[in-house]
Amino acid sequence: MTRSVQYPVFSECSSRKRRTSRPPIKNMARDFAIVITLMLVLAGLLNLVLEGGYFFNLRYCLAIGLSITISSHFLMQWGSADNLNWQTSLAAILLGTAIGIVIGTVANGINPIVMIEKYPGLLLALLVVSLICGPAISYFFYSQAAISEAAAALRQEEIERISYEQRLTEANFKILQAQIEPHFLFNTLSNVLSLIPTQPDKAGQMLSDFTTYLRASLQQTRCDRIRLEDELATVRSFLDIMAVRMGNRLSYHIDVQPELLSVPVPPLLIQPLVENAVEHGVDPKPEGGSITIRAVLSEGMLQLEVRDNGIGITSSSPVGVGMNNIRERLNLIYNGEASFQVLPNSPHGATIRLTIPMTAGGNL
Amino acid sequence: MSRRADKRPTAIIVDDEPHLCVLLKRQLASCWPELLISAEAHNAAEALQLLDDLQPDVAFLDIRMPGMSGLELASRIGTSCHIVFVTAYDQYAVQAFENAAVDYLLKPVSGERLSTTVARLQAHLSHNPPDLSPLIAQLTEQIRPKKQYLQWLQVSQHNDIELVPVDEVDYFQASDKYTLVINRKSERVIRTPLKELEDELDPERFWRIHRNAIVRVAAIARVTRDFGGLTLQLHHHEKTLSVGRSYTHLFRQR
Repeated sequence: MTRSVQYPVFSECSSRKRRTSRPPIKNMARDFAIVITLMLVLAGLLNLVLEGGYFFNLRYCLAIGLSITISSHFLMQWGSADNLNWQTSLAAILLGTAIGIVIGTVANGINPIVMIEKYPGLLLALLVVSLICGPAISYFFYSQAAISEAAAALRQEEIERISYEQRLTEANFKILQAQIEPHFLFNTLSNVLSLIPTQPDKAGQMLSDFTTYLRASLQQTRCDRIRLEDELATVRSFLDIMAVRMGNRLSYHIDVQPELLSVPVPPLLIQPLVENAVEHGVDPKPEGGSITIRAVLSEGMLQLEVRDNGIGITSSSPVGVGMNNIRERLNLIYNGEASFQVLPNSPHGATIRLTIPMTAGGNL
Repeated sequence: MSRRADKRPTAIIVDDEPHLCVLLKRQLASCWPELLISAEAHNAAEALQLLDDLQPDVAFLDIRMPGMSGLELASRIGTSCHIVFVTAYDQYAVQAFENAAVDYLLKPVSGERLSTTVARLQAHLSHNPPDLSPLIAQLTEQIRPKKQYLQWLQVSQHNDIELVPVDEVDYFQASDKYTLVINRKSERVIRTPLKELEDELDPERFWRIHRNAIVRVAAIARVTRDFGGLTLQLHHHEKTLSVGRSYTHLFRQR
């Protein structure tokens, strides 16, 4: 939302920039009502210092006050958004005063040309009063507009914050949903059942990997950051499960410098990419393949890579839900400071490269 | 074809996961000792070869397999043997199977459920296998994506080739022999002409709005009408795009 510093005369001016502005006619009617009320009071006060009587003064007050109001509205309507400033306000006050004095003079039954000769004192008094009260009233309208604008901005910020949190929660939820995908659960359990009578140790190991995987999926989606080490533990448990399920068709390698193990990263960032690489890269290839996970420090950023030598990505390969989700989460979490790249491998396969700031990131 | 009622019945198990073949084989051995498992296959191509060679009475088919799915495999098998589908979780398929009274098993397969299947198979073995093709055609239609649209662009940058999902692109703009691929972060160049892109992109998600531009519909923030025609304001972009006269129908209220 644009919030430029302005010095508008009446609320109309600033509300033009507000998205939820009231219709101008309604604004003008409200301003008129306020001005008329103020003028009724002002005429009473002037009655104490000027001669001519209450209604004589009131005619002048109303003529000048309403002229200023109208000229302000007109100047603002015609002026572009950029020149709504104190110059415009001043111009409106001067123009309004001049027109108002003429109208007021006529309304009081005096010839305006005669007035300059006959009553120079009255003219001077009217000018002085107008130039003091005009800006004061303008300022009143301005601060009112500023207050409501500030409130609107605050509301807008609140809405943006809530929608940001909503989107992040939604993205996290989708990741969790993908993690506990029924096919994965039931097929894994079936494998455990198959292994129990003949290879109980292997069955036990698989069940333990499965537990690690499930626990991580359920717990870590509630954290903002986890240690890279913990994410890699989830990845390892997943890959161990899949290596058993796919027979000899899957192998993997994790290559991470020890000093990077404690770096904080958003949870379930690498894991869905690994799953994607298995499901869409290696598994569809009859002879299978391997997956390499790498983490390096590159120009102060953490670079995470998931590389596979599977069937690769063709121009019409579906873009995985996981990939879109991670892209969205990276954007939300790092405000565009993180990058997500998909690179084809030679001779086949694909590499996903995430580059994220080493710091905890803007949105914790 | 005679159903060899005098001989031991034979079956083949098709599942891409070896341990699951072993498990089903073991379970069948205790449920139906006379059944001879003549082979296991880990993908559909292997299975087709074995089915042709061995002519089994029953085929247990996993639905989700890389390459050809169990459903496609079943349509190739036709009525040459009795089919039992095995799946971990396929809501729609299971519902369809229920309605069509086709036998199916859910993984992990329970002994009790398997006994029911075995009893049913034993009763049906002397009959010809039912024709599943209408059901399979319907399910395949549901599962397979309609048309394969362009999803990835190959973009070269320095020495790297990068794959960019089309949904990352806000708009494409023709520029001499090249096409500019523009999003809020970058402006890249590809050689594919706009006309070719237009044919390959999903017309629901991407609109040709001008002789020289294609825009991602979701990237449009506002459409304004002025003297010159329609102008598009995109999210996160200062620049506006104008809509060519012959494309304004896209923005008419429907």
